[in-house]
Amino acid sequence: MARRPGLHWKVRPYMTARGRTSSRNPLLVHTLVSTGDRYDPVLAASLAPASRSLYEQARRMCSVAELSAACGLPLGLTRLLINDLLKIGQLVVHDARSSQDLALLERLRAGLLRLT
Amino acid sequence: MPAFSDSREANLNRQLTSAKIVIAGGFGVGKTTAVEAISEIPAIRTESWMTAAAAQIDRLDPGIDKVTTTVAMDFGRVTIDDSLVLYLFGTPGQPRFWPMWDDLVRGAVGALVLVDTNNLENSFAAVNYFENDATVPWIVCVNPFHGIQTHELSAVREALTLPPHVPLIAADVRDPRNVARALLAVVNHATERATAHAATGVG
Repeated sequence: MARRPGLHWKVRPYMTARGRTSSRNPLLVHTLVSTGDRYDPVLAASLAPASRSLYEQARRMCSVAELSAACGLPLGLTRLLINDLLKIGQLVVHDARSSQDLALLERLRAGLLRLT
Repeated sequence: MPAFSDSREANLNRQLTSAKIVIAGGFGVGKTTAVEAISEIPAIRTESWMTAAAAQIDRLDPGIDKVTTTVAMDFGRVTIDDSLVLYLFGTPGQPRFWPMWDDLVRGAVGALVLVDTNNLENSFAAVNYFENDATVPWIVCVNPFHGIQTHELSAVREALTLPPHVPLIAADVRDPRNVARALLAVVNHATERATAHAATGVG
């Protein structure tokens, strides 16, 4: 994505959505989220405590539910804050596949078989 | 949009994927036991689940005497392969939290409904939910705390008035391998359904 010279990181998330919304990838409890390779300490320092704690925690990829539990935030608030960070491109969502995708189901089957 | 940065991002995300199976059933039926048995992390109990808005509505509703704003929900994690993680979510047992069930079930591969033969009624609500209010594939698993005879399974099917297309199995969910088998049964059922849908061009 091209740099946007006029855009300061203190601009409110809703001002900076730029079409990067989560509507294609709704945040489910098991949706995987991380900072990708973009961890930005300056941004981290600028975030409100709850968002900052989510952002720091997401340096290691984990699910929305894990983020909620690790940061001690209610799920609804967790989703809202993650969405804000997604909109400014500071978190990435790692989910893509449908839960009824046959290839996914086959991988699950193989993995679970090993545990039986 | 430069193709280079796109493919670079795709590489980083390397099809890392998660899937979810929901473990449902009445209170004390062994949901947490099942999650704990197979999870590679200690089952995480989150109790601050409801949104502040939902909590507020509760307080204003005179029909609800409880002011409970926290809901216990356990979840665990199983690494399936180097790019797939399976999450297991135990549903909150209390029926009044059904909106939360909708949220938990959304996007799930399927659901495992646990029942205890000594207390079948305890899981009626969960069976009802998956039969009438959810679209995910589901199976029922008798958790034999004290062992079960095979012929009892048909009695359980009858008592729960399970439709014939819903698989019914028995598994002691204290044993990780049994839990894996039960989850495998969920995945197999989901696969059958997905294959049937693909064949008929539906869904």
